[in-house]
Amino acid sequence: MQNKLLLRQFQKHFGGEKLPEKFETFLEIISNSYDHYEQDRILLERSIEISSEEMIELTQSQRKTHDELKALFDNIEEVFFSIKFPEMQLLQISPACEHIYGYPVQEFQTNPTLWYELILDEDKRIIDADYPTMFSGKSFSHEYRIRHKDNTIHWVETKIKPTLDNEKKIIRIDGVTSDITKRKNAEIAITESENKYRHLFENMVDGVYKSSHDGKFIEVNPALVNMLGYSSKEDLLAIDIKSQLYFNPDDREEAVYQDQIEGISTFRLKKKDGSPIWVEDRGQYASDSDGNILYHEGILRDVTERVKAQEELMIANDNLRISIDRLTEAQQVAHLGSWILDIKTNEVLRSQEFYEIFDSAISEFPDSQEGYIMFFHPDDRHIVRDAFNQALIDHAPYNYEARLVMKDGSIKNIFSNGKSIKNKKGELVKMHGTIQDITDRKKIELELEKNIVELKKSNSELDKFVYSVSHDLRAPLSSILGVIEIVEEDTVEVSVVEHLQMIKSSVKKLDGFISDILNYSRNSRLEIKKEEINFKELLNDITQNLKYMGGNNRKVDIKINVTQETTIQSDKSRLSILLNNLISNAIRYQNAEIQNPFVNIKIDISDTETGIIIRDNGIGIMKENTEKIFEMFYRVSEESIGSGLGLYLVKEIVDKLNGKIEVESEIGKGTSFYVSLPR
Amino acid sequence: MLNNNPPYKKVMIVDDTYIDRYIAERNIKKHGLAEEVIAKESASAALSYLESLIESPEQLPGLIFLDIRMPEVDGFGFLAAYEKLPESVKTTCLVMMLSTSLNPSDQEKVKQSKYISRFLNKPLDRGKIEILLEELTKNNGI
Repeated sequence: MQNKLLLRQFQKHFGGEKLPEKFETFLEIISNSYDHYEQDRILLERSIEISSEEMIELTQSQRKTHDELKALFDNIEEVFFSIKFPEMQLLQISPACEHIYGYPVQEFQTNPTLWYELILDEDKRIIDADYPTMFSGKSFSHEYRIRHKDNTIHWVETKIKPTLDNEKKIIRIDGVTSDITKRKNAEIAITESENKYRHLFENMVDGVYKSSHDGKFIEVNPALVNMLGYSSKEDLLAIDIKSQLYFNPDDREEAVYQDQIEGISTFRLKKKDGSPIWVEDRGQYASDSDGNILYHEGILRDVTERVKAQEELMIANDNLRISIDRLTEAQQVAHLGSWILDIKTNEVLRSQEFYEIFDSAISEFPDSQEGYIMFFHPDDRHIVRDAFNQALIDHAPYNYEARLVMKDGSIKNIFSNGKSIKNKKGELVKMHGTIQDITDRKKIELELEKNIVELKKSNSELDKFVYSVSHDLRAPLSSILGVIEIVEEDTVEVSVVEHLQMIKSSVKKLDGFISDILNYSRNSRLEIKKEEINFKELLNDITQNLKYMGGNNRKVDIKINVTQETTIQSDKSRLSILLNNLISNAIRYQNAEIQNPFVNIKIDISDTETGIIIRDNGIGIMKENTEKIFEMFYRVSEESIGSGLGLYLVKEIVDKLNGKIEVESEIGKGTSFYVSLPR
Repeated sequence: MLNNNPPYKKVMIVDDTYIDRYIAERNIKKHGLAEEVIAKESASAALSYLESLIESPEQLPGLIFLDIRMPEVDGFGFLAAYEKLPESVKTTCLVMMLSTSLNPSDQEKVKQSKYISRFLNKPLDRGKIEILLEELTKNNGI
């Protein structure tokens, strides 16, 4: 027996009497049970004690929590509310509703739909759209605008948690509404600015890019795609920058690092079609804390035109520099100095060479016109003064030659010219001109004049000589001919006559030869001398003289036809010889077997040329000889009377006058010569 | 003889060469250009002759054949002096230049001189005399 109570009771009633075994076992059991009962009772008491304590604690903490909760509820800015369904009864609403809506709790309680009414009309549909969701038991939230009591518009966000019963019917919704105006405005601002940014990104003229450090585009705007000549964004995003965008792959490295130093760099890229484009890159790169480059981003501007213009400007500048150098050189070489006078300021700018010519230092050069004139020879000063003054009046260009007297007394010849520059109103604003040292040239000119005079002299002396010689050679010949004729007339002896004929023909040959030599000499030596030609007169003279050819020639009928519309200038003596030789040939080579030998001379003068046709019905020329007849000393046979120089001379004269000559002929029928001379 | 009725009584030839004077004289007479030929061998001799006949113009030669090239005073020199002679002489005589000169300036000078009626090339042979006769008869209506 364990149980003390039982033990005591037992001892009380039974003292120490020994009990039957069954009775002991029964007591044992009861004792245990009492023990257990006792323990349980103690435990129970104790637990009741504890629970009571705990209960108190719990209640206290409950209360505390409740108070805290209430405090929270009352003071939080969000509106908590619960609505019973389907009655739409507002179970509770936190006082924050006054803050958010401007209306106190009572208002909401009296008007359960107030919260709906305060929603902006155009946003009511948001609520309406989500209404059905509630019935599915799903939680949701939506944002909309309400009109505060003070008439301001606020953005609110409402989170709704519906509670459904076992039949999935909605019995209650709990919700929280918070004023998200600030956030919303911020969101809107961000969206707007994002849109603006987006708009800018898409539409700006410059290219915007973001690229990875290993050389691939991450982001590009349409302008960049366009600029680089790619067909689409995807196209451009696919390229490898290093190899496809740079002419020299190493350039990219350089470009990247240059950027760092200068912020803006200009370099050359390769477009899709391989053509170059110059761009200005304002960019930067983002790196991590270790300094490794993460990506590059920036703006590329197409500056090809500007670069080109800069290059062209540089070239133009270089060219200008070169031109200026050349000009200075040229002035030096030509001993030409230049000057510009500004009429308003009366300042004169002079070139280096100008001062050289006047052998004066820039600082020493006189400012005034009078001072300038003192450089000139006293006799020439009026020339300078007059020219300049005249130009001031009539604004016309002028020039003159004058002499300078140098410091050492030597004389320089100069050639000066000047021009006026007027403004739009016709007023004189500037004058400019050049001074050229022509001393050398003058010297040469004088030499030349002297030479020409001497040359003319010797030429005319030569002429005289030639004439004298020819005259002195021919005079005795003509005397011989004269006497031969006399003898011919006085004698009847046939043999004498025959012999005389032979002498005569030899003499005539010699005479003709001398004439031809003389003419040839003059043709080749002398200049063409132009004077007015009257062909009718000329031909008359020639034919008159040829009448005196005499001898056994029968009278040849000479027909002259001249159409001279306008006056014509040419070398008279040469024309004379040309016509004379052709006509005398025509007479000489007449056909003895026909009755009516003739020579037709036709001359046509047009605006561009003079045409001469000499046609005869003489013995003609063999076809193979038509070229040879113009050769020097060519004669048909030894018998011919001519010197062989006649047609040669004709050809020489035609050449000298830049003309052409042609011959047509048929043996036994006749010959035609066609000469054309340009005007 | 070409012409039995020579148009001139007297003509003069001025030439420094004997042969040329001979030829001229012979042909003139033979072919009936003139009855009498006065041959002078220099310009000065010819001028003196003319001067001597100023008072008797009917004795002046109707035609003067003048050579250009003569020593001392040439044909043009003669003309310069001839110009100074009185009008009566100048209108009576017809002067013809006779020469072998090919010098165009000579020919020009001849053209420009108002006293020379034509230029002839030597020799003064029959053919030339014929043509002269032709022209003279034409012009004078003889």
